[in-house]
Amino acid sequence: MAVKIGVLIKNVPDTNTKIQLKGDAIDEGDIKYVINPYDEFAIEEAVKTKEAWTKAGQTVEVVGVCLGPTTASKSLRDAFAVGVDRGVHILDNEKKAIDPRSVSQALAKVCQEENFNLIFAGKQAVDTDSHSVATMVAERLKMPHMAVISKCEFSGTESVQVERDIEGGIKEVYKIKLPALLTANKGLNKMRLASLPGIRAASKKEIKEVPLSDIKAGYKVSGWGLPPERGKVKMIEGEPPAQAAELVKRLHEEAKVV
Amino acid sequence: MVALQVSTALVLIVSMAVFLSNFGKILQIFAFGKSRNRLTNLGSRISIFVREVFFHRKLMRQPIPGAIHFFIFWGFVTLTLGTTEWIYYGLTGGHHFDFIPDRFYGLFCLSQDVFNFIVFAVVAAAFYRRIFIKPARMADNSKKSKWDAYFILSLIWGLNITNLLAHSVLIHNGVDPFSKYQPVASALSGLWSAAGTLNENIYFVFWWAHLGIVLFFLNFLPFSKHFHVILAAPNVFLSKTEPRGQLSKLNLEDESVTTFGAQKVTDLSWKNLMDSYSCTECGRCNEFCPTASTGKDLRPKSLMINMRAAITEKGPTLLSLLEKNGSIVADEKALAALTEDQRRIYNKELVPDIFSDQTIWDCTTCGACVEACPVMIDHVDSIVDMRRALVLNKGSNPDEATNAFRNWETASNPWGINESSRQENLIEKGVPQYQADADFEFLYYIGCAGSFDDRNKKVVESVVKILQTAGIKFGILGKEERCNGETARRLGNEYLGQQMIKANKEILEKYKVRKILTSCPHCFNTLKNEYPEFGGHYEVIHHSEYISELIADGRVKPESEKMQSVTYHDSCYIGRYNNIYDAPRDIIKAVTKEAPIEMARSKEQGFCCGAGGGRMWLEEKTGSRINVNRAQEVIDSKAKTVCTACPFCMTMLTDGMKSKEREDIKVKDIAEIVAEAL
Repeated sequence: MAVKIGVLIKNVPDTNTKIQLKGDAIDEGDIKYVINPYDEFAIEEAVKTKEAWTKAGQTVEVVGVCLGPTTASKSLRDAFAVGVDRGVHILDNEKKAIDPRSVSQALAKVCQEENFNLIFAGKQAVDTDSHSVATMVAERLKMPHMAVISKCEFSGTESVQVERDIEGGIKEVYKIKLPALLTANKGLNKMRLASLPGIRAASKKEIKEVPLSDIKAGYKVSGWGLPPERGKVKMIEGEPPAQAAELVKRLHEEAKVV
Repeated sequence: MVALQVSTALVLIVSMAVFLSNFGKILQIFAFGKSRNRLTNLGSRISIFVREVFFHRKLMRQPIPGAIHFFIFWGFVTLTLGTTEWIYYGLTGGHHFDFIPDRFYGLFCLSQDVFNFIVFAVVAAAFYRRIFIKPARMADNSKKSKWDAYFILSLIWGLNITNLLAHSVLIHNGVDPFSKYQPVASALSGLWSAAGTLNENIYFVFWWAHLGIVLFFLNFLPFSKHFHVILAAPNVFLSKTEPRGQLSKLNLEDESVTTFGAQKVTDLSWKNLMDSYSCTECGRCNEFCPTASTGKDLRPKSLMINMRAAITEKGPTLLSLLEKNGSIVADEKALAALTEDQRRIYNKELVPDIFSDQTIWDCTTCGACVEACPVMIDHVDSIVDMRRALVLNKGSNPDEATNAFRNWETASNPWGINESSRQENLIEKGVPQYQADADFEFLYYIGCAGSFDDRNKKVVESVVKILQTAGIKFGILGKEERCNGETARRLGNEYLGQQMIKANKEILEKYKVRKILTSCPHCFNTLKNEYPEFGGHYEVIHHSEYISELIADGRVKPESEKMQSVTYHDSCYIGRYNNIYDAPRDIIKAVTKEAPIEMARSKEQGFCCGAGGGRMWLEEKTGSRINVNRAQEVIDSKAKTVCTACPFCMTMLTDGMKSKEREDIKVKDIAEIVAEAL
């Protein structure tokens, strides 16, 4: 019987993006969307696991699941290029599902239907930083889960031993039975670069678009605001001793803090 | 005399047959490589040939070995005429070239006699060099290679001695009417003075010995590094005539092509394969190579030797495949029919089976090896082809390169800094946006380093100051500028590189740009030499050339309270790749009123800073650091300032000076010293 691995993939603004507002909404103009960096680790681990299991004689399929507007499918295509086999795209052009409760609900529904043996996700999405969607999906699926892992070793398709980093450089080691959901931390791996045949194949892989199911929102965003502008910076030039003297002078006379 | 004719003909036929069969096999192996047209630009081919083969331009950079080789080469050419006569003598049963008028035949005899002596003498010098001087560049040659050299030198001696002795016998017997044209053979005839008239057979002993050595020599060549005797001249003639800085363009649109670059040895071009066979193992390539000089895996000479070994090992398997299946590409059935050993050889890939990953990623593409090679081997292009196979077929490259690729994809610059901050400093200063219909003299294409790197932003500001002082009207692209793809291509990511070229070209077309100024040699080289193949034709000028012109025309008058002791570090991509050596030096001269101090390794033989070929973005994990090696040379030159004309050289040398704790030596762009003197 075929083994199915699911990967939750979110399309997020590139981390270097400078978010700007246009009226009451975020200005989408200059934003470049990419795969959520933590989801990259999830994708890589899913593909690696597929490779290992395939070598051991299993038939394995890796399915990417993504929620977002039409443009979000780019992240599924990018995931296809590095080895994800097909995708399910929950279409949400009106951006109705933005809070963990509703997102996890929609994702869980698809995961339920797909009946995955194993699910990988990033530990957090770098846009909303809620850290909670993936584990909420697991709870909804009544699936054991382990968050923030930095290493995982499978014993066949039965169980997995994972390491997770906790405070003080300590590693917790768990052994859990599959099916399970694991969320990836930095350090788990590094996503491979897509080969050109991979990129070509990606355009031919299947994306199943599904409508957003009835969801219950946990919260609504009532407004956006930008952090206050950073004050003007004055650069003090010259040799270090002169710079230091000038700095003290200015702190004393202009800033009046010393 | 019929016996002589028959035996000469037989010996000749057998040895030529064996030679042609072996040589033919090698040519067939070359043909297994990818196609590459090397018959265009006949004019420049002829001029390269004359310069490098007839005049030994590159070899003469080292005058003593250069002169030794020069005389051996021309001796060989001259003596080959004698060999033709030798064979003619055998085939005609005892006729010399008696159809030549006596006057000229006498000169012919003189040339043979004298060159036999000269070659004998310079071969002695070559022996001396190899045995007693032991040139460092050949110290790492294998034992086989060293004995190969001694053996070949001995054979040449054998040729000279048997030739002269054969003639001396005739002279002694008084049957050579041209003896007065043969001073050396005449002197040698003194050897026989005690004997009476010598038996004719003694002459034939030497005659046969000479012919035997000639034919043995010919047949030994294909198995020796001295194969260059045959291949070097054609290899020079067939060398790359396109700009050196132009990488081959891969066709990525053709869906039927599924592997890219050089994954297996047969994916290299036939010329790369011929290069490997033409290599003389002289080691000039290693001398100025930044990786060979800092103890890294990559040594260009070894690259060629190993490439030759790889194709030689694979040759028989490929030939048998060709014979059985009519193709060297084996399907499963053909593969199954091979022996296990043949299959293993067939499946070998260039990386990692022949070369380590590290070796291929070490290269800075500085082109010092290509510049040094007397037989015009192109090492760099084959390395980039191997990188292409790794990146495009397997997605395999150093992690740091992946980061850079991602950054280019998302932000069109290797740092990954948001595009909206590109050239912010210049826009704030009021540098105008380039407009298609305004009367701008040119577009100043800033490049990523000048747009995002703080140190290099200052260089750009200096260029702007100079241009403004001279009253030049120019514009910039500001936030719309895109990276041009140069570095991604040299890191083997042809796919990303071509995407970037396309995007960048669209912007340049949108603004109808015709003339471009750059202060980055990498931008300069790709826009000038590579964009035409992609349909982008511009007049491209490097700031060193432009500023030196402004100074020469008196539009900019740098006047400094005498700046002193300045040296200049040549950037590979304007130097070796585009032959701009004088303009930056002229600028330094205009500012300091004295010629720059020259470092030991400069101009054509300049030493790379370590950043080219995308190495700027990779960590240098093996050997000693290239930039520190160069920094030491700057320190040794006693200069107080080192000038650069490249943003990456700037970064690398600045870091190098820091590592050496010699920040008292300033690293400045040539534009900065001019701007400071305005």
